[in-house]
Amino acid sequence: MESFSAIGSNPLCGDSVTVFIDFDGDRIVDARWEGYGCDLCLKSVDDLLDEIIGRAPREIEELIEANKAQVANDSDIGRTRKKCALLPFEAVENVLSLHSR
Amino acid sequence: MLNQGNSAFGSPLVYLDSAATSLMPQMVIDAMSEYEETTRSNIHRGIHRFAETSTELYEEARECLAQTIGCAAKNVILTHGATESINMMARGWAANVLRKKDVVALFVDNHHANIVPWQMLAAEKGMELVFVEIERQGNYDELSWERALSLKPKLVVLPHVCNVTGFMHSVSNITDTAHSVGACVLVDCAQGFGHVPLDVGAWGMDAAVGSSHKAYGPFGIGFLYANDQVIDEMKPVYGGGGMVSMVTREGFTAAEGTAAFEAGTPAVSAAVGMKASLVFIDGLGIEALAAHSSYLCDETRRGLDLIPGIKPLGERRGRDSSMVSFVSERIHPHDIAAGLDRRGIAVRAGHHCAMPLHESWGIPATVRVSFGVYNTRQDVESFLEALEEMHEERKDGVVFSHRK
Repeated sequence: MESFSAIGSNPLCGDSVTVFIDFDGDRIVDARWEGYGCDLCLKSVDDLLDEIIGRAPREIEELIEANKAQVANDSDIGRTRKKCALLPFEAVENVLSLHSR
Repeated sequence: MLNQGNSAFGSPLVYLDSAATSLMPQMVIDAMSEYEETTRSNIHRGIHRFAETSTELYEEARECLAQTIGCAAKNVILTHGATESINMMARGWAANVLRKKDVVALFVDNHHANIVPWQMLAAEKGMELVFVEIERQGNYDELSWERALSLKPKLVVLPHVCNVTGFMHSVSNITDTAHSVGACVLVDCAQGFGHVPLDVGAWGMDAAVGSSHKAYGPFGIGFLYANDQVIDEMKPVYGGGGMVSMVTREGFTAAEGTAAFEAGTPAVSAAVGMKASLVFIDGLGIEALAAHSSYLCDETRRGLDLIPGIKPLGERRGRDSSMVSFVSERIHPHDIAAGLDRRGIAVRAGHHCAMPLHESWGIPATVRVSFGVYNTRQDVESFLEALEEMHEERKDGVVFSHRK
């Protein structure tokens, strides 16, 4: 089993989320996080990690793209707060990048 | 003025974000509307009556501003705002006067607008930037200040009022000390202008900047005050119409005085609005405005101190201007601002364009409440009640979290 961690951060509001992801071959078997963020950001990371367990990197990339589009079109999330919801995606993408090396 | 019945949530709007931009009184809006409907014309360029009247109104605005800030009209350059004014000082004055290795001392509680232009210039010209640290109560750290002065800075840049803590620096004393080591002084007056007394002549700084939109005026107009020596040493930053006395195929001769720094068509309507806002301020009295804001700051601090888990920044020592910032142990600043917004209360959350200050204190972001003449004790009560309610709901909340 391999473990990787990466950070997603937004210096503009100080939010910073570190995700820790365990891989068994090409599958994610566990995912955890710690960090400082607003409710939107922390709910986003909780939901995202729930969704990625059991999946392969390629599936997660597709999932992230779909979620990004959803956030972009979500009229309940104002323009200035979209970054809050997207921050965990950045962290998970950073982990996938480390895993693929 | 922004309609106070304008809240989307059924309750009257409580606007506590005047440090970002103040609301405009109806008389300011009316003055601009009237100008647009009856007089609109370009200035300094026509013989017809509208051009003449517009030119007079524009110059009257400059005179009125000069009187308000305590200087002569010949020392006032009208710009599009404080940020442009600082960049003009950097590009027009510092780029010509400062040399490689010259030291520029920056107070760390400056707004980014008074940090980034100096970083940009230093990267090009090789000047050295030294930061003066700020203590938790809002004033500068003595040792850090002395260290900066020992380096014989050529320029000291500071805010009159910090846009995070609301702390008012003793500009006059700081200027005297800076002058004693041969430094010029540039003061960002954006947060104090229109809210507390300002006297650039008496305080002796070499240059000062401000924006009308934070002082009950319109967007798009501000000023650069520069003393005679700075104006003599400045070179035009923008070329264009209005800033020349003659243009030939070979070159141009810049206009004399402040005109050399005002290329292109200025914001005439905004100048008319700015003058109306200065008349508004003068009618109420700047001392009375300052006392009102200071009282609301006191009441806010008193209330914040009673809410467990809330920590106001700075300390009340009679130097608060018109704002109070705080952090919460339970709720992220964005969530506080969003929760207050749902209750019809507008505040600002984030780093307020002062990342170096937040970083030096190890705080990622804060909530800021700031006041204008239209705010009341009831506004403060509404804010405190809403904040207390939100805090009660999040009794076990923490802003640092994790999932194992």
